Amino acid sequence: MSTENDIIAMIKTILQHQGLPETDVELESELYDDGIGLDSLCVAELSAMLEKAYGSDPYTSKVLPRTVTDIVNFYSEV
Amino acid sequence: MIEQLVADAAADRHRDLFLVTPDKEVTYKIFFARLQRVRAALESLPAQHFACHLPDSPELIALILGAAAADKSMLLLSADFSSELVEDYLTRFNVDILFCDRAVAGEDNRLDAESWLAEFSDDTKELSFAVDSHNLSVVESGGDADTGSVQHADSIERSGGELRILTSGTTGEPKCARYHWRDLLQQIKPYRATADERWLLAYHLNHFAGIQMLAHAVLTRATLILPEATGVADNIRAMFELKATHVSASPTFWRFALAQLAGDADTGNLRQITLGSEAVSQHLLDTLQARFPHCRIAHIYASTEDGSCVSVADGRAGLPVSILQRPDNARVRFKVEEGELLISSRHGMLGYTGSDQHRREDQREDGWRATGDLVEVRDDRINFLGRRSEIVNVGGVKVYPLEVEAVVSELPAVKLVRAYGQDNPVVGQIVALDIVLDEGWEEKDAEETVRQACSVLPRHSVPRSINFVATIDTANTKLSRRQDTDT
Repeated sequence: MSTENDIIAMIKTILQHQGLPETDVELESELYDDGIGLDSLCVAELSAMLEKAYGSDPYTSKVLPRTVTDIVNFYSEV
Repeated sequence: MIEQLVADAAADRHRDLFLVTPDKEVTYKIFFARLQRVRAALESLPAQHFACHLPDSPELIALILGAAAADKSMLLLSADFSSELVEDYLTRFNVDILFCDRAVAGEDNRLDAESWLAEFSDDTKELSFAVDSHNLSVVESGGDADTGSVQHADSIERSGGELRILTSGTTGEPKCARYHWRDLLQQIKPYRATADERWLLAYHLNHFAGIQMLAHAVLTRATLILPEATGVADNIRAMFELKATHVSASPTFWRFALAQLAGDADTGNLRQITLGSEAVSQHLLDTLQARFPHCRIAHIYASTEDGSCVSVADGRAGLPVSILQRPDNARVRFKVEEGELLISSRHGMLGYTGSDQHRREDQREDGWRATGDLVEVRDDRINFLGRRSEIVNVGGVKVYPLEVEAVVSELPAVKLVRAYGQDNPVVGQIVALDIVLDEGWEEKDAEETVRQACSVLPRHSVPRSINFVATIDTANTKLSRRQDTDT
């Protein structure tokens, strides 16, 4: 539960860093162009944030999450 | 040459101080007497290559200058080096005799060189060396050293031995630069220091900048202040208690010093601040000038390889473009090629140890050396963008840490900042920041102001990772912008 909320909060923070208006981020939201719209620099930031918070991140582990749930699952599987 | 300079200073400045430490004062005259004894002792040894593994001290200076006067080579090793590292350098650079203040060799003496313990206690009258098979003593003649006349050493015509200094190694394995004292002295603008001119030795003597400081003091007959230890706080204490009038140090040193200096500290003695070793930002120049309004503030461009190249004191960061127009016969010439500063220097090092003796291998065949400093020429100024080795590659876009630091360091919340590349699986590297907060700031508020300030930067340059840290490590008083291997 809290992992889900934390990850959603991280994504919202990254969007805020881009100066974008607040967007709804849900578990099934698509992360990239078809959804929230994270580009490579945003994803780079997300990967650094996840690594800092949890000590690992899906991108370094060569997993490419498509949705927020994919990220949550990455940590629940660890 | 060195002995002559000290002899002249001793004759001219009979009782003036050459060296000052928190518990010792050495006049030029006493030092000259000591130098003669050390030189004679070193001359008598059937060895050519010496090394010192000693803390910065009057005794170390006597050995450095004594070896120069005796025409012997001297390698300077940091007092912080481990025994293993010292052993390695002694072997690599064919050192015959090492002077040290503690046992390096260990009981099974694995050293290729002889290791001589230098003893500095008052009981042994300042300076003596001992080794089983030899019995070299360089002992002070007692309390009467400051009486009698100083003889001019007119007949001394030795060329001066070779000094061997390790490069700072901020961009890899340190190399050993060979220097001739003649070239070191030629880098210094000759003038006669006033009797009360006291320079703080804020660099270690085993660094090129520390040796430049020593050469400066000898040539101008100024007084050199040696702090008790090497931390910024020790330097600040020595600066005040021993009444430094001139301080030559790195921008990183001053960022730390400004952070530690009490607002009401009386800095009235200080007359000149010289910044070197790293690029200086306009913000730091302005901050120093505001904090020390009566001081002349200069910044110099120098390197171990090329020596001192130019000094600028117009209150502006960067170098004036006029230096690009220097005539062909100038001692140091500059040019910019593909965004990098190139230098041709006639008073630099002889070369690296163990290399071709006839040509400096760090120079191209046309005599120019690529400095690794990336610059941008704009209007009448050459501005520094950063070291080539410190460029951060964010998804194929080059980002210069200095540009990011310049934006962040101006913020009141930020006491110290370091920008660097952090490995990233998505774009190769991202820009990361380590920040030491000023008192009274909360991390959350500070991060907000940092992000706000960084919004003026191009997207790739915007820091993607901000870490608040208690302190920032420095390498040889320079800010290290390489990513820590354990992060």
